[in-house]
Amino acid sequence: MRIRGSIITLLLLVIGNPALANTTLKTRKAVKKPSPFSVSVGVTQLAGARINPITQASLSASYSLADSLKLGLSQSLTRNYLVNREGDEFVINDSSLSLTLAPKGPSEKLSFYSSLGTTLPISERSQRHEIHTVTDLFVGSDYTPWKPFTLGAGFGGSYHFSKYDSEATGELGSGAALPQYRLDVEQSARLRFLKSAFLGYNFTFSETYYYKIQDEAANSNPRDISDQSYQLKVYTGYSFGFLAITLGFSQGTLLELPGLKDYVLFDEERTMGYLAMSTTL
Amino acid sequence: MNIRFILIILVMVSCVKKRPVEKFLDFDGDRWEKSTFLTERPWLYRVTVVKNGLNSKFGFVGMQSTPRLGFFDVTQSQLRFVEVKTNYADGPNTDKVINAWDISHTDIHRKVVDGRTSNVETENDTIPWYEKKFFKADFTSAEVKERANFPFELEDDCWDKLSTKVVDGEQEVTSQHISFVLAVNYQLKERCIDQVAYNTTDFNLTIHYRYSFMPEPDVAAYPPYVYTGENDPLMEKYGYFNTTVMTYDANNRPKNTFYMNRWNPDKTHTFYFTENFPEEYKWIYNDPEVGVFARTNKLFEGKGVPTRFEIKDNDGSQKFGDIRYSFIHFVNEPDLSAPLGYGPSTAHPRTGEIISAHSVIWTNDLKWYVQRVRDAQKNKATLRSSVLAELSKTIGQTEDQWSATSSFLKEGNFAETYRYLIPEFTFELPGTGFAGREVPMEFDTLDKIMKNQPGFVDANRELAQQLTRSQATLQKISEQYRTREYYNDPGLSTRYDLTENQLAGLADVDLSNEKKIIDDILYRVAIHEFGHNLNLRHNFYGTVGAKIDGHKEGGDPNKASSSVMDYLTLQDELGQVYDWEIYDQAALLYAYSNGKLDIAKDRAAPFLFCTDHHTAFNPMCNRFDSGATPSEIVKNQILAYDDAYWIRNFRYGRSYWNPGESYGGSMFQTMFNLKKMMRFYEQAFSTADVRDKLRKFPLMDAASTTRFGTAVRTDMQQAVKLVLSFYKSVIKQSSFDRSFTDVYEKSTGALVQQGISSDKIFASLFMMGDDAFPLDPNRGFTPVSILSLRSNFPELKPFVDANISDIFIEGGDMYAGFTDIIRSFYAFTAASTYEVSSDLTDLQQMRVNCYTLGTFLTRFNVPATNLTDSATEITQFNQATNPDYQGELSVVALKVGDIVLTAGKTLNPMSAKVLLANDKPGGRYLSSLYQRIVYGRPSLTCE
Repeated sequence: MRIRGSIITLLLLVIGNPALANTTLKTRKAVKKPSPFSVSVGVTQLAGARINPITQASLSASYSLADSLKLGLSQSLTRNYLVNREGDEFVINDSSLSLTLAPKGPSEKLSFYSSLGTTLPISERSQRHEIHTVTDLFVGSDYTPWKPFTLGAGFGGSYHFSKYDSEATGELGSGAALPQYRLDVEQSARLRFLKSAFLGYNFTFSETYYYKIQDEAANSNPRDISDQSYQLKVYTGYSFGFLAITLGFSQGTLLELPGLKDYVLFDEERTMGYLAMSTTL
Repeated sequence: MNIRFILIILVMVSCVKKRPVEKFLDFDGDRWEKSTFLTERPWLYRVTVVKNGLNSKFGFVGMQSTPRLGFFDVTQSQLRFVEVKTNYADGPNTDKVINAWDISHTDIHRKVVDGRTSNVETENDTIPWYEKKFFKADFTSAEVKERANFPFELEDDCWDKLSTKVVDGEQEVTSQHISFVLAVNYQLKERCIDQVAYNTTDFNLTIHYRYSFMPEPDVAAYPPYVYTGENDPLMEKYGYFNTTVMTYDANNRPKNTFYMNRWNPDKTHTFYFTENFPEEYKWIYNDPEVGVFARTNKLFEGKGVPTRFEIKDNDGSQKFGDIRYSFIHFVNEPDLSAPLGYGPSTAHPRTGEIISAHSVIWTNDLKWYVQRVRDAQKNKATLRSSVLAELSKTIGQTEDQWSATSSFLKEGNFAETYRYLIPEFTFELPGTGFAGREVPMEFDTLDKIMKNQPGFVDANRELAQQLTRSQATLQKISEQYRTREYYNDPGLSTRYDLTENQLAGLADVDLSNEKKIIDDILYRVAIHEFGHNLNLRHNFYGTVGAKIDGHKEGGDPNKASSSVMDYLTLQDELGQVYDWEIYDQAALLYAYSNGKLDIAKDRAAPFLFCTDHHTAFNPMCNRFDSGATPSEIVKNQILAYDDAYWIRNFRYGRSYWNPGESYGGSMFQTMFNLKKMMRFYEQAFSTADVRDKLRKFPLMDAASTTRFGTAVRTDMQQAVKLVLSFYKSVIKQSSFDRSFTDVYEKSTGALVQQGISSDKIFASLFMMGDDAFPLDPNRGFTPVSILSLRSNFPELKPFVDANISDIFIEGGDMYAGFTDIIRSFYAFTAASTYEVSSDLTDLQQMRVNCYTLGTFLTRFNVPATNLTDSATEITQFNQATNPDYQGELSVVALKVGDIVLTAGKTLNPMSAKVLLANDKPGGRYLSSLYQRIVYGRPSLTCE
């Protein structure tokens, strides 16, 4: 149970909020595609010195409702190569439904976008803990001072709708407090070179607030309220038209790990590399 | 729109439910909160046996420890129950740990997942043991053995403690009561497996002990009754259980304070029937007219004492052994180790306030008991022994005349005078627990004889075997008297045992109404035990008091006892009123009115009271006796001995019967109880003493005093004569009537009849021996012997002479050598007198001289050829050459092979009779014995 929870957390860290991350990327691609329909398939292999390998596959579909408005649906699966007694080898993650708005910016160099997403609780985890959905809203802006180079910044938040304030107990879960909402701030940069190659980074700082499940004030401490975390991804890749290959490095951790009083900026257990391939049909 | 959206979100947020906390599952169920235990108020604690195995060899239901007052504390590894300190609490003294159990500390908190509190409870390992609020105790790990908590030692030489477990469902931990039950398994050691254990496979047994703790009752609400000291006259007047508290005075000297144990007189106290109490017996307690509770309340109500007792049915919440509650419990199952009744109480160790009590009564034997009465009546006609006939012959009176000397009590105020004097001649043991603990008792006469005559043992093997058994009995009893455990411990004395002595005098019991018999017994046992519960000790003078009153004009001769706290024979127990007797009423009213009400003051003399420890040496204070005067008491004891023969000496349907050791003990007690009368005759009711003590008592004029004194002495003399006659009758008992050998069934080898050899050995020991024991503690542990009685009281001399001479010549039917043992008892007793006073008179009486044929001719001028096989009396001899026979008129000579034995008829009357009876071995033995004692010669030397 604990491992499974960690993996999900890990994936969230690696790819950010799947819905958000995918839609962000796809938004940019979608702008370039004239067809209203778009389907993408991606496979990501993750590996780290202290992490068991994981393969993630995702299938996304989108439909442009208007020039700047797009509806997206994505589904991801995870394959764990090492599972513990209670874990699953194949995990179906929650489906994600999104609505992306990317109006034309005030100039060529500046553009804005936003997205509203919600998950469909088809994953075993969501069903087990009776998490109805996670709804998120993100607003961002790209600034392209020089054609191949884009700077991005944005912020967003998500709200978790669940039946209970904590995970299930007993055989089903650890009884841990469930997140209630999360606030994100993101900053990124991306350089396109050699026509179809790219290099970039993405830094996100998040603060996640949890349900307060114990009333006794004496037992509460700041960590009962929120977690602060960051995630940094540095990546490079090449786009072959319909196929993009990305090689990246990801580091992300809670700034204050449970049991430690000091802030932690580097956690080797949360450090990994990944190789992703995606294609748009 | 936006507002609506936000509202929907808010509604959904507010819909989040609190997930139920996953509670920590404590499957062991013995996880307790420390704050319940660690209170500022002390706890009162007691252990009670609440169950025991069938055929349990030790322990019985209701047996309980003395209560202790203490606090709980916890250390890293233990829960301790530590005695409350009264003095010097800050000193270097270590805690007095009453008991301690292994514990592990525990505290439950919400599990922390990824640094956040979860909804799952789990052990909190993040805090040290002393911050944890709970603990789990292993109550089976008690440091102090359960049995060490009991006021007396149980026989555990044969039993190993195997294992202990906590009985499920019996644990209770609340602020008002902490309790658990331990089931302790004991295993019989291999060396102790006898045939009974082997056949019944009783190799192990389980006893359930309930530990019960309650918060200390409010001490301020109870007005204690404090004795003026250990010599408070009240101690002799009414027998109450009391509590001794040692504190320190202003000079740091230990100081004892004595508190009377009693219930709070201003309250109503509740007793409960235990669960499944038989409906058919509830009337004994709750009948509105005769019920024990009704009688008690009526007594108090009638005199304006506010104390009340009530009896209630059990609703299941009052568990037997709970220190807070009082119980009436009947056990219907057979239990070999149980008495007939038991009535302990639990008093506050600092004030004596009785907190709770219980009466336990075992009913399973009652029907068999009635059957025994029925059989006793049937057997009485056929098994009446010649002991009584021989006794009548010896004393020269028919049985109905034996205690005729008691009739003096009918005169004027003699009975009241006598009742006044009895306490004056009731003596305490020399030494108490507070000053002079040990009594150096030793019954060693038999030992001396056996050691001094090793040859005798070889020559008389069968008798020697019997003597060795008696030696063992004496050794054991000497030890008991020395430690005085039994006599000094009031905790023991609330048990009521069924014994064969209860079967005395059954001839007149009407058996037509069996239910009435059982009801009578149960009622008397019930009110007796309830008397213990209220605070009364035994009163074995109950019978004496009642019978004295019975002699008085208008007195009730059928009244058996003036106290229900006596032990009565079955005959006396039946047909008595269903109520407290007069002594009990007086004692209860005195105690519960704080001494304001004392109905003894309405009488000329106080009520009589003597209790367990008085029975050790006071011959008038006996269990299961009856009678007002020494002669009546002795007579009844003799009849009781005779009545119980058929059940004591025959198998009587017992599945297992091994009377050996207990039979010896019983015979010792029967014979020793009677011997005490000799010492009583020596030290009590002397004419001078009576006159002196009656100066304070205005009922008698001088002439009456003299007449009274003489009458009492006459009765005492009669009692002594009865005792001696009885001893002699038992010694002379023919084996035609009562076999001295054990009788076995030919085909199976089963013992069917216990021989009376022990009866004869102890009768001869106490008749002829001189073992020392006290009565008046200021007159020492001097030997008590028939010879000193003979020399100190000439009026007894002819009677004594005739009787000792009789058994000296012929000891009656018994194993070979028995007469020599009787002679040895005499000789060693006479030797003791000689050692103390250099007076040879007693030894001379048994002297036998031994001569070779040549010397005999020289001394007596009688050729040996003139001597025949029979004794010859020589009246003509030269006294100058025979200094041993100076003044003698006739010397008896008996030729035995090549020696001649002689004894003077006047100087050596006892030995002369032996020679005249032509008892050659007897003559040789006496001669040898005399030489060994007087000259220290190891073997017979003839001049």
